[in-house]
Amino acid sequence: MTVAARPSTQPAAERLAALHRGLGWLALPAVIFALYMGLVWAPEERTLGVVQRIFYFHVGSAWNAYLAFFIVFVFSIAYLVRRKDGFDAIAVSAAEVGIVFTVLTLLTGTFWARAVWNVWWTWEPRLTTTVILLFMYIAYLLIRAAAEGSDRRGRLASIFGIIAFANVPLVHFSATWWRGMHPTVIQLDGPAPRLEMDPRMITAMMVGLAALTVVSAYLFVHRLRLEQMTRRVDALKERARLEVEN
Amino acid sequence: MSSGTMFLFLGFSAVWAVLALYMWTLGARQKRLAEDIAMLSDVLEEKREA
Amino acid sequence: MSMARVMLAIIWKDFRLEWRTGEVLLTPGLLALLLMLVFIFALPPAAMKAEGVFTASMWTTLFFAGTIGVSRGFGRERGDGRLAGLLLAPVDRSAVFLAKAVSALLFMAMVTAVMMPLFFGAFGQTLAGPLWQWLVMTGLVITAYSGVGTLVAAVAAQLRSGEVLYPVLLFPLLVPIVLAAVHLSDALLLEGGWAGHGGWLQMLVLYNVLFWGVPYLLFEYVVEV
Repeated sequence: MTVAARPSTQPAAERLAALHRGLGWLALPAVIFALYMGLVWAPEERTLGVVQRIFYFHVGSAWNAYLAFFIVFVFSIAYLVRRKDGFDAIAVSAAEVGIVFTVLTLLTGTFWARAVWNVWWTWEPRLTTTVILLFMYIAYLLIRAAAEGSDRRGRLASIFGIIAFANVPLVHFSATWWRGMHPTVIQLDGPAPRLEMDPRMITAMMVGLAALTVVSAYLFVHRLRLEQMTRRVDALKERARLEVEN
Repeated sequence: MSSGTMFLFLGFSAVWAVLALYMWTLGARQKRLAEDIAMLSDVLEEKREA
Repeated sequence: MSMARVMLAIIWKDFRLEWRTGEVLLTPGLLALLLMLVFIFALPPAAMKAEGVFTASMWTTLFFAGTIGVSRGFGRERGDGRLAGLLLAPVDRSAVFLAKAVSALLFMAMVTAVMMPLFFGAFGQTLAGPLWQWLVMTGLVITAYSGVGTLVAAVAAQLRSGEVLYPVLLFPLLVPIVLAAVHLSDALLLEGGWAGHGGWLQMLVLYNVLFWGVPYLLFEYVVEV
């Protein structure tokens, strides 16, 4: 045990590292299985053909993006109330992973649009909402980069994390009504219901969703470890600075 | 039909590329942080001994 | 001191400071005029009368010009630590937010009152629907804008290069208002009324409640010293 290590952080860091490894071992077979289910096992869609299979990873990507930003929301509130650094670390890690999955949602969504509507991009409600989502959480990271001091950074980012998430349903409804779709509270939008959703397709979709959730958890834990290490570096630098002064 | 397969392949490749790129950045950052921790720990140990 | 008196005191202080220099309306007003000219020059003549172009140009101009005035709500204070001074006073933080947001609203109202008729004239448009509906819609839009704009201004004031970041932070949050403003304006201009567009109005009201309510509740966290 080195001189600089604080006893209380070692077991936590080791637990996180173990969790990281465990998720890694789980993620790889999960992804392979999901690929098999989506690309081979699921029946081919009658009208759209083989390219429709991207759908099996589109839903999972979107789900993980929204889940990640929900975690940002919850832990932003938690940080403002309790001011525990761990909560802030969770929020920033979730935000970064959320951005990755937002990009994946946009990518799979674009290929989906190409498959269904024969255009590379369309201002369809969910794609539009996803773009705004991306900008909001990039803004979240920009705030963190531009804030001086960890207290200010955590506090201001948390405020933004809360209002950004509150904005999501508003953007969703606005984007849905924007192109003339009738405003109702519960929206069965998008191509999914219009496809004949064979139960095997639903199964493949759920497997894809589960696999991507494991992947996102794996990335999240990795990012959280990095955050832990960053804070350790800051603590060490602070101690070095104090040593110099004495 | 074959163009559909190509789009599918491109789509999955793009997804894989993004995930691989992100994992690579995580790995690179981890390496740099580990080096920083080791360096700072050494510096503090030296000061302790001095 | 009661909350209302505190609010009025802060609003009056800002108002007097601004009117002394006159900058409050001059710079954003000029910017709005220039943006309008850019749109007029950039659009082909046929396009100016095309459906939706007028409202898109007008609201874009107002939202962009508005960022200068609204962000100053806190920008002015950051210079010599006056923000800290304001907060050391024994006032409820939420009162500070309300005061700044109301000031922002007054500012937006003044700019809008000047620019809207100019836009109507420059684009040769007339209002088909009832004026009261247009005024209510405009009121809801600029109120929403002031609320969220003030909150983001308070955050940006505490960041390095906050003035530069301000629009980047604000505009994704503004999307629902932009869509509502343009949609309702088009309805009032082309259909003669907002019947059938109640959903948009409800969303505007909800947005206002959310983006005045949440900052009001959280403001003590926003401006912690």
